[in-house]
This record gives sequence, structure tokens and C-alpha cells, in this order.
Amino acid sequence: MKRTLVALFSVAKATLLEGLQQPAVLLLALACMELTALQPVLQLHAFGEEGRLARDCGMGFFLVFGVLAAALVAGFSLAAEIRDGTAATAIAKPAGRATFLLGKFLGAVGVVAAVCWCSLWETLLAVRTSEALVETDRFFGSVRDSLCGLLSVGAPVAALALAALMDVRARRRFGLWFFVFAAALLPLAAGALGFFDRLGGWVGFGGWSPGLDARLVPLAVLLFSLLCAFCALATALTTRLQTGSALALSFLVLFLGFLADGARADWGFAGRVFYALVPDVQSFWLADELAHGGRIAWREVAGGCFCAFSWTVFALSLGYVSFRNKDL
Amino acid sequence: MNENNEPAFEATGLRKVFRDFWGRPRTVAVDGVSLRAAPGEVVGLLGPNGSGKSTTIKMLLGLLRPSAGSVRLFGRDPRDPDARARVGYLPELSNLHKFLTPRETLAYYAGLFDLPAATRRKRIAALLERVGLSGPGADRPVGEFSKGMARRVGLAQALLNDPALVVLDEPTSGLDPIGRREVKDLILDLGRMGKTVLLSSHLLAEVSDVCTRVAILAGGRVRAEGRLADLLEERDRIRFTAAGLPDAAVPRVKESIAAAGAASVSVDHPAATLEDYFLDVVGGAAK
Repeated sequence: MKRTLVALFSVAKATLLEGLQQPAVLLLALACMELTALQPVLQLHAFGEEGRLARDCGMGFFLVFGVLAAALVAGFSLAAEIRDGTAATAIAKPAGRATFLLGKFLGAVGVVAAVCWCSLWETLLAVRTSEALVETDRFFGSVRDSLCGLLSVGAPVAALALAALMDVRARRRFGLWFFVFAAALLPLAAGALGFFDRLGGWVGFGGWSPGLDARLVPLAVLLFSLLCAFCALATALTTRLQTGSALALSFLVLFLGFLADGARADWGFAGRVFYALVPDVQSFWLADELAHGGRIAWREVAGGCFCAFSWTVFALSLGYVSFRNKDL
Repeated sequence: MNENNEPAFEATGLRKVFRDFWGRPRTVAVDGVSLRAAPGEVVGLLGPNGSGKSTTIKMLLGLLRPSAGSVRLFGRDPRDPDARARVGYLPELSNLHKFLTPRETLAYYAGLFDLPAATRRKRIAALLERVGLSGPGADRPVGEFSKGMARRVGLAQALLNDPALVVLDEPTSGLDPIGRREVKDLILDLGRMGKTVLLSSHLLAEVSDVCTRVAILAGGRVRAEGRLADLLEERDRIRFTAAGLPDAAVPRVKESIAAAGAASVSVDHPAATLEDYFLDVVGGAAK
């Protein structure tokens, strides 16, 4: 048992380290962060729903880039390793195939978690940046939080610069350090913004309030649990398919997942079968519940996580059946 | 059979048919191969490209499922992780994780063996030293390495668990002559230490220098097998070697041999191998 756990940890750690250093994953995370940070500035005709638009776009990027990252990391870590023979070297050692597959899945989840962490903080900052009504003694009107916008756009750029500096001076790994710095700088920026109001005025230590929409956290947890299921799906697919095909099929499942709820209602028996096989993405995408000050109950989150967990186990089981007798 | 006499591996009637997407037979890569190695033997698997050497090795390690036949590794099914715990394997291509350093690569593979932390550290340091990567190279990503350097990392990972059976698939591919000699010395050392070695190669000189027994594969079948000395010995020819014999004495020696009834007599000066000569020159330059 101990040997299995040590082997599992070893495979997951190597997958995480490799995944975080893949240039494609870095570009993906950077694109996700900057698109989220910039969209409050690029909004047109929001009709007073700037905050909602920022929130929906941010969480939309969270989901789409998360699925992209899941498929890419599974492709790099499993499909490519099977093709190149790296998987054979590991499986010739006393690690079972199930341990190897589960380790790859956990490593991929780690990479997706890093992308999601950065994406969530960027969304929280984007919601604060977006235009909102401010009423003070000195000011009345709608205003964007320029300082917040600047920090949310600047944090990933600063992370890139610091990672480059580490790489040049100490030959440390660029990709890995980018994620370390981005993951640390974004919460730091959010914390620092607590000392400033939306107009950029200093509020003092006593008035510290980050002004972030914490209601997004349960939604992010729900979507992350769905992304874990997509990591499992991508891991299962890449036991037989190359990255491109796994990516296309993952997005097909995401698309079908959005249809699942409607299919159950309208397609009779076929719809119920369809609903049983495809994850119901609508039950994870609860952004609408946050409108008009609404909240997502943690009980709902727990139900969603359980559903995602079941789907993860199902996908990993299929992956194991496919991988168990695969010629390496 | 007790553990000391138990063959390190035993394959009987192995056959491997690769199939296409629809399950139709595409290639018969291995056809009825039987092979075994006693503990401490250094066995060479010789054959041209596509003769089925790597496929046979992969079936021995449980990486490929045989279409027919059976394999035992230390008396167990090779798909049993405990059987593979005593095996070190260097694949034909050293495709390693390109963003990990050699030290991290070895730590990763050591994790699969669950070696105690102190043993792991000691063994990784010793192996990096042994394959000539103990300097700053040990902390550079493997992706920056030449093919030969990556091969050295591959060799080190194959020896991490102090294996009882070492399976080396084309171990000298990509190595320079010095590296090749080091690998040969390593295999000889392993043999002296009582390890079983299965060496696959299409380089005849490499195999003849280190192996005690060979199997020659062609077209997926074993065409010849036996002790190297038995296979190569020409029992109807005798060679004398003499040092310090004056040239003037050579005709008299030839005459004596011919008078004793030899059908033909030839005399020449033995030549060093190019490898020995190369190593002398490079070794001299280094001094």
C-alpha cells in the first residue's frame, strides 16, 4: 500500500512539474488571465450590468480555459509519453498501470488547479474593476476601478518578468516560477487594493476592505469539480488518442453537457439515457443565481461536487479499462 | 525450484501479432520465441532492425501482451509489479521528461521503487557519478541534453533499484566510443556482480565482447542460440600467438606446422581494434 502511494505521489509530482513548464500551458494561463483582466475595459453597451458581465465572462474563461488545460496536459503527460516510450520506462518499474494512470490524472488536476486559482483571482479583480455606481461626499457617478484594473493586468506581466529574472540569474524554471509568482501576486494585489477605494483614494489601515465578490468562490469550486471530471475524461481519452482528438472530444462533451438538461426534458427515454451519460454542465454553471445579490448554497456545491466525483470515477474507470491491456 | 536456480526470465513460444484498428493482423513481429536466462548470465539478443528484439523484450517486461506463449519473470507473471521490482530496464529510446533534471528524473523513478530516502539520495549520487553526470549537468533540464547524455541518464535509471536482472535495449545507441566502452565495462561489472543481463543490440562486436550466451533473431524467430564460445569456435582451425619471435624464425615454424599435417598455414601480425586504438589516442590527448 505504501509503495503504491509513494509511486502515485511520484507520478503526480512529475506530471505537475512537467505540466506547469509546458509553454502551451503557460500561454493558455496567460491568455485566460489577461482576457479576464481586460474585458471590463473592453465592455460596450453593458446597460448597467458591467459587474455581472465581468463575472460571467471571467467564469466562462475559467471553464473554457480549464477544459483546454485539462486536455492539453493529459495529452502532454499521457498520449505523448505512450507514443515516446516514457510511459513504458515507468511501467517497467513496479508501479501498476492503475497507479500510473491515477498519478497522471492527479498531476493534470494540479495543473488545472493552478490555472483556475489564477483565473479566479483575476475574475474577482475584474468584477471590482468593472464600472459601478459610487456615491461619496466628493463624487457621484459610475466609475471603473482603474487601480484595480492596472494591478490585475500588471500582475501576470510582473509574474512573467520575475520568472524571466529567475531564469536568467539562477537558471530556474521559467514556466514553474511564472505560476508561483502569478499565484502569489494576484492575492497580494487584491489584499493591497483593500487600502484603496474605487476612486483610488487611500482608506487607511482601519478601513481595509478588498471589495471582492466572495460569492464567486462557491461557483468556482463547483466549476473546478467539473473540470476535475474533464481531467479524468481527457486522461481516459489520451490512453488511446492523441492530444488534438482528445481536445476536440472534450469540447464536444462540454457542448453536449450544456444540452443535457434540455434533452432530459424534451427527448423522452433517449433524453434520459443521454442525461445519464453526459455531465449536466447546466447544474454546475450557476452564475445566474448570483444575479441581484443571490448566493449559491454550499449544499448545492456539495451536491455538484458529488456528481462531478461520480463522473470522474466513471471516466477514470473507462480509462483504466482502455489502458490495462494497452501495448506500450 | 529454489530462488538461486530460478531463471531470471523464461519465455516459451512467444508470438506477437500487431493488429490494425479493425483487429485484422498487420505484422507478425515475433513468432515462437523461447528464451531463458539463468542467474548471473549475460545474454545477448542479436538481430537486424525489425527482427523482433524490442518486441520480445517488451513482452518479457509485461509492456506488450503476447498473442501466444507465456513469460515468467523470476517465476511470476511480468504484469505483477513485485516481479518487476527486481528488474532494471533501459528502453531503445531514452525519451525522458524533458523539463526535469537528471537528479529529478532519477528521484521520480526511485519513487516508483519506494526506496528509503537515505538510500535513494545515496544511490542517485552514486549513479550520477558513475554515468559521468555528477557536475553541474545534474541540475540542467534533460531536454537540453545531447542524445548521448540523455542515454546516460537512461542507464542510471535502469540501475536505480540495484536490479537482479538488467534489460538493456541498444544501450550504446547515441554514445561516443568512450561512452560505449564505459557501457561495456558496466555490463562486464554487472556480470561479475552476479547480475543477469539481457543485452539487445545489432552491433556484433558489442555483444561478443560482453555476452556469455547469445540468441540470434531474424524475421521474429530465434535462428541460433547458445554459448558464444561454442557458436564461434572453429574446431578445425588452431591459432598460435607468439611474442618476441624473430622474423627469420617464421618460415621454420611454418614448415614445422605444415610437416605436422596442416592443410594450410597463414601468418600475420595481430591488429588492435579501432576502438582500443581510439581510446589510446583520446586517453593520451587527455593526459
